[in-house]
Amino acid sequence: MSVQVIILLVFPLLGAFVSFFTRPAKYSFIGTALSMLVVAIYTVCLLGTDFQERIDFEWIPSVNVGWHLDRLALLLIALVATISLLVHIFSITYMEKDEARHRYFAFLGFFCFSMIGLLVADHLILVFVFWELVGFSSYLLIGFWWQQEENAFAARYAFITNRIADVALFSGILWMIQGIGIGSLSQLQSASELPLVVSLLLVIGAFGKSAQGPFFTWLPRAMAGPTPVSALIHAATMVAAGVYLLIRLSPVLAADVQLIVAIIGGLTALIAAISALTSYDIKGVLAYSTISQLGYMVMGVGTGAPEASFFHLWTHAFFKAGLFLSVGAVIHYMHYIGHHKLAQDMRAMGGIRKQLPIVFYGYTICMLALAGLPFFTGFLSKEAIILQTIVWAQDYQIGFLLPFVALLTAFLTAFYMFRQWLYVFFGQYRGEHLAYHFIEEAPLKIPVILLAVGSIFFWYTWNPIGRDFAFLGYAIGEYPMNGAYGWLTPVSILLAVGGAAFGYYRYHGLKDQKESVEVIRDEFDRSRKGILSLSFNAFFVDWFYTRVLSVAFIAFCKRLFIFDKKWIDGFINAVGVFTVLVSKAADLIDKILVDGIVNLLAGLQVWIGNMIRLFHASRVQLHFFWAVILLVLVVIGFEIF
Amino acid sequence: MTELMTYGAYLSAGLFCTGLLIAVIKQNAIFVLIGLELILNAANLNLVIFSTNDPSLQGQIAGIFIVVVGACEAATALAILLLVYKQYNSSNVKDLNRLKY
Repeated sequence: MSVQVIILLVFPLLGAFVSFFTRPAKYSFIGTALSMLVVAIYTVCLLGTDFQERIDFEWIPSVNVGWHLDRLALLLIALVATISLLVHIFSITYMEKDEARHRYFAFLGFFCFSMIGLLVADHLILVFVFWELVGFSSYLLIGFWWQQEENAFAARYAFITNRIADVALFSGILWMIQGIGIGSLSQLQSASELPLVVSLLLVIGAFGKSAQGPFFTWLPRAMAGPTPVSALIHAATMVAAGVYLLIRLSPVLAADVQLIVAIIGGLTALIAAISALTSYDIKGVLAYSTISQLGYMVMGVGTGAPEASFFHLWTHAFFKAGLFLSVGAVIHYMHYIGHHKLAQDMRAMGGIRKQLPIVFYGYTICMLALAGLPFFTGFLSKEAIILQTIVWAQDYQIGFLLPFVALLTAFLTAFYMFRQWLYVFFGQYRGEHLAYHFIEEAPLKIPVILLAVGSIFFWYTWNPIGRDFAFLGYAIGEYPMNGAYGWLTPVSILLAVGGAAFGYYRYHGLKDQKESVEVIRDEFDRSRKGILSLSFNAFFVDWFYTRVLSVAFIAFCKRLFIFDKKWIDGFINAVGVFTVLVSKAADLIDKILVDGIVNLLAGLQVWIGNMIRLFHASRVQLHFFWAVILLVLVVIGFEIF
Repeated sequence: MTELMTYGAYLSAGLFCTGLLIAVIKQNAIFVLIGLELILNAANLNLVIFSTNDPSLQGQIAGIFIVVVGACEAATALAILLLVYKQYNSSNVKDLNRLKY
């Protein structure tokens, strides 16, 4: 363990401890926020000096595990620490009413510790340990308001879904270490391609954490946690851990598995985007959009551009955290005016831009970035991935479907983001309680502003629609940005603008109070039946899991229980009864035979003793008699011999 | 061996056996004492009889001494018996199975 790794790991943990024991709870943010500040500054300094390191140490004899700090890890640590710091600042106001703030900040600090551990871990066993810790802290934070049953259920749901994927991941890791002899991520560069099954297992694990494919249902449910948690964990950092692992593994994944990864990524991106179309939950829309964007990243890895995926991960973290924090401010406002029941329902909002102007601008910038419009970072990174899918598609017969899906998703993304934008911020307030003036406090504003500024293009390139990213070159090495397919730029701009325009056309009625009622009712009716019900119910996957799979499983368990009760318990009881009978018989034998012999011997002794006693009873005459007899015997003896 | 000696030996043996029988069978301590006296005197009789041919008559003199000692012994024994009777209220040897009370 070098000093650098120790500093990066110990500070967040220490911060978590300090936060947990800080009283009054009002000041408990200080511990973790300070530790995050330290880590962020320290990481930036390490990046500035181009620090790289790899440490091995013997864990158990003949098994070396290790840590590494390379650019990718350091960049992601910087990202985690920065966003976490902003989230902490935001939480000061957001959690001001909560009694258990010290617990909240301690959990956040613990999460940051686990996440940084995951990023600095080089050996896959260490990666897995922190992977589980990250999942556990996510569980703690989703269920932070466990007093409501559905929140606790969501936490369990997310935890179990992740565990199912982790079984695959762990078996993959063990197989890799034992069967192939590679345990460290840094050894992968020089390794040959992994066998099909191993790559598949590892990829399934990554899918679980990144909510891809069949595992995507846990992420919308994870929105039960506090909104800043959603911003940090379920949008910007933790869910990206799966993508991070895929990026690390991408040099050695089997070709067939890469194809699967690309297809699953594309499908998930599309399905999540469609599911976001009809969601009324203000956080649900963002959750589905997160899944969709993670789908893009996975698609990027699958098509052979992990660099582009990393770039998208990076930019996505900023604008998605910004979106979640803006939405958190909106929810905070809804609670502030007393709208606790429908605080997350977009139908009850409207016109909030007048109450939260700064948040509105922050949200708008981040939303434009997510929608993939030029001049914002989302456009740059999404373009890189779509470009790669086109290059990749040349090798497959119906490969053009993937870029098509990617472009369609981009269109839908712009559409549903404009829908949410109009729903939340425009028109008149539609809730029951009166809207009144609300002061945007600094802790609410500043993180949103900073994240919005981070979502503008000039951080990465001076050309808003250009394709050369110095950032990528610095992070992971040269990225072969293809100059070909120049038609893509206008097409993707057109699609994003088209989606935005269609969204505006569809929902501009929300600006008017009377019309908005009709629009909402119309949409609500339509999403209930027909093809849109697929979107409204997220393709019934969650319904299938909770209503069919788990019900069937519970029924199966009940059957097993009956079987247990009837046959296994019966067998065990029979064995018990038989044992009792045998014991009784043994008892009888003991009593009669063994005790009998012992008693017989003892009785014999008593009898002999009694007989002997007769000779020397306490009677003078008897003694005298025997003495005479003995004398006679002695005399006779003398006579004979 | 004279006739006197033969019959004397028979007599003393008879006396001895009688004394022994009384000492063993009788339950009264006084009778036991009488039995013992008989045994003693049977032995004494032997001394007297077998010293008839002895000119120095040592046996008969010893017999006189023994009678004296026997009298002393009887007196002592009777005194003890008197005390025992006082103590136990009984002179039955069956009851006298404790030396300490």
